[in-house]
Amino acid sequence: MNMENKQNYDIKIISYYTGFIILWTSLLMLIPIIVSILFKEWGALADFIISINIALSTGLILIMFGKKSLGKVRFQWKHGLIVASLSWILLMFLCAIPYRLSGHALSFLDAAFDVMSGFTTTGLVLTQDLEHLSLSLNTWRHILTFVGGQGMVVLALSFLMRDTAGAYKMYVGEGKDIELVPNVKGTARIIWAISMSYLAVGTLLMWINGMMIGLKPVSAFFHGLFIFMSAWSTGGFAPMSQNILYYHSMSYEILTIIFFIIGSFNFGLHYAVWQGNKKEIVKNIEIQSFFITATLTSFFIALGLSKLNVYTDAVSIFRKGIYHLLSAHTTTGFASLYARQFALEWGDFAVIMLIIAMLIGGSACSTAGGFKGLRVGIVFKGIIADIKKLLSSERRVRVFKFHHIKDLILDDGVVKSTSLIIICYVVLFSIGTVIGSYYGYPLLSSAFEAASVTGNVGLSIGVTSPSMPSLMKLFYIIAMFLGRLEFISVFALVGFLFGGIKKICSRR
Amino acid sequence: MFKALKINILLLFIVFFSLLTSFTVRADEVSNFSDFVEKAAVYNGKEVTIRGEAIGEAMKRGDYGWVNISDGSLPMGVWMKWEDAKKIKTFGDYKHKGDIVEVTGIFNKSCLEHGGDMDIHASNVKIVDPGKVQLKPVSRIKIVVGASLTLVTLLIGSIYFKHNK
Repeated sequence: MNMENKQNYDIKIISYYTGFIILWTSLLMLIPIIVSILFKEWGALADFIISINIALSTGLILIMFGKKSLGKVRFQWKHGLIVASLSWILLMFLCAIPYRLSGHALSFLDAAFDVMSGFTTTGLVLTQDLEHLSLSLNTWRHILTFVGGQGMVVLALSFLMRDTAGAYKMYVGEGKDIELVPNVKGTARIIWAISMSYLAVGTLLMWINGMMIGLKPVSAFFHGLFIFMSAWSTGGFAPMSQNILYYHSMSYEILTIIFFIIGSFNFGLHYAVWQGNKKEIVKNIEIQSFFITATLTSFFIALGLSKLNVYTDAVSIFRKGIYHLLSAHTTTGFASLYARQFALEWGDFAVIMLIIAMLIGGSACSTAGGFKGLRVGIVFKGIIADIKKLLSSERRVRVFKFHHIKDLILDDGVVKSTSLIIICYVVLFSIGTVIGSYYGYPLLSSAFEAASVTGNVGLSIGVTSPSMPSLMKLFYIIAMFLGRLEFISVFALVGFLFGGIKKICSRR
Repeated sequence: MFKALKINILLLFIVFFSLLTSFTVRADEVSNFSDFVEKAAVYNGKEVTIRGEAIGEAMKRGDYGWVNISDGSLPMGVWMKWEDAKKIKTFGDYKHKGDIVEVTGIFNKSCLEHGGDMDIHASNVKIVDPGKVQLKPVSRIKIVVGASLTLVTLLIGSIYFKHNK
């Protein structure tokens, strides 16, 4: 096969699988279509009919274009990584159409921003006047964040007729690497089974609690469903612009804490516990790391808020301080106060604690973002191991281990690759901070918002708004995307687009 | 002469008294709710009057309830007697413009009674302008575009399935 033909087949195989993912994700629009019919939201129905047709047509055309490549070219790593990142970008545009048509997004860029915010489970919002949004568009917003939490590739892989060698490569491309069972299709289905089981139980509990706090039954059901979807996927979207503050309820807040903490755990851990391995909760390095960093940052945030007398009683410190800290640490982004209150009332120390928590984030292979507790744990153990090596005899060979589902050897390669990803996050966060400062936002506010987009959190200090510069919106979209897919897939796509494919091929 | 002096003193007393009451009794009117966030310390513990659209729904908590009122860009939680909350008939949502409500009450920067929420405890609630159904007719262009795109998708779909047989 000559070079030109090979390149054509590369494009076609990417096109085929990208179309496949777009097709299955687009079909999710049937849910808001049903909601709009049930609740007689005819304007929204028209928006979704237009959107689903554009999306389905795009998916089908890409599949038809790439169909001939099947069996003629081996599915390689580069294909998997590019398919994952390209499908996310195309879906961002396609899923943004109903937002823009509704008139609640002031520009297509704002609409795309909100979709990427949903997919990446960030939760920052540019959509205006949520109070008057149709129920169907609200359903769509929360479906996007729920599906984004598990991954669109994971969704599409669940529908594969047979397991292919390429499936794992696409799966990894979406920032996941854990294998729950030997085949990827099975793993994808388990991820969905875990999420859907929690969805049923979680929605029921939120629904009951919603009625207890005074919501009407139908309304309590939808609020419960939306808030659970957001909490489980560590998304942070809510149907009302006040976010969690709308409910003015401690019991509602406590339920969300439980769900977003569980949601921020590794799917591997969920599966291990489901299989009866309950000890994994205590032994897992990510849980240990999360427990230590969450306790420390919670303590410091309570200290900072008490010192400034922002909140004078323990209940307020818990409901405001600890709640937002946990929301930040799990990269959820639920808020029960107004964004500007962080800047105006909390003081620099508490804000810095939130920034640290947002950057650390939740668990790897979960719905959460950030560096991930696994990486923080590995780097920390790596440092301890290095110190121990320095202090022990040179002749003595010591093997260091860490526990993540199973015992793993902590070698220099693991620490190095882990550190590289953390460095990428820090660089992205720094660029975001600099851009914010360039546009005149205070340094701490710029850093807060940059940490929020980099870690896919969604808490805002008041920077994110429709009036912020377009370049910042664009950068935030890229930062959310890079943070979620953990850089490699996006780098692969950029390399492919700029002729890097030749270098990649020549290396093989 | 003495009579005129008496009238003047009476007038002065009336003016002085009315000025005094206007300063002490009249609550601050806040039309832009973001002022509450930006100048929370200034308004904290003071009686304020706000006017805005009731949104979502009222949430009953014992003899009281929560109603969120929006100025169009920022909603604020108002804690009021359930009797007052029941006066509100229409709440703003996709199909409705909610009642415009005027609330007078005490603003709390971080309410001790409600876990640090920024809120207003209402003493007086008045419906200023009743809400209404918001008709949102579907544009004819959207119907035509939707129908055309459906045909296109069906066409592409039929080609795809034909080739896949």
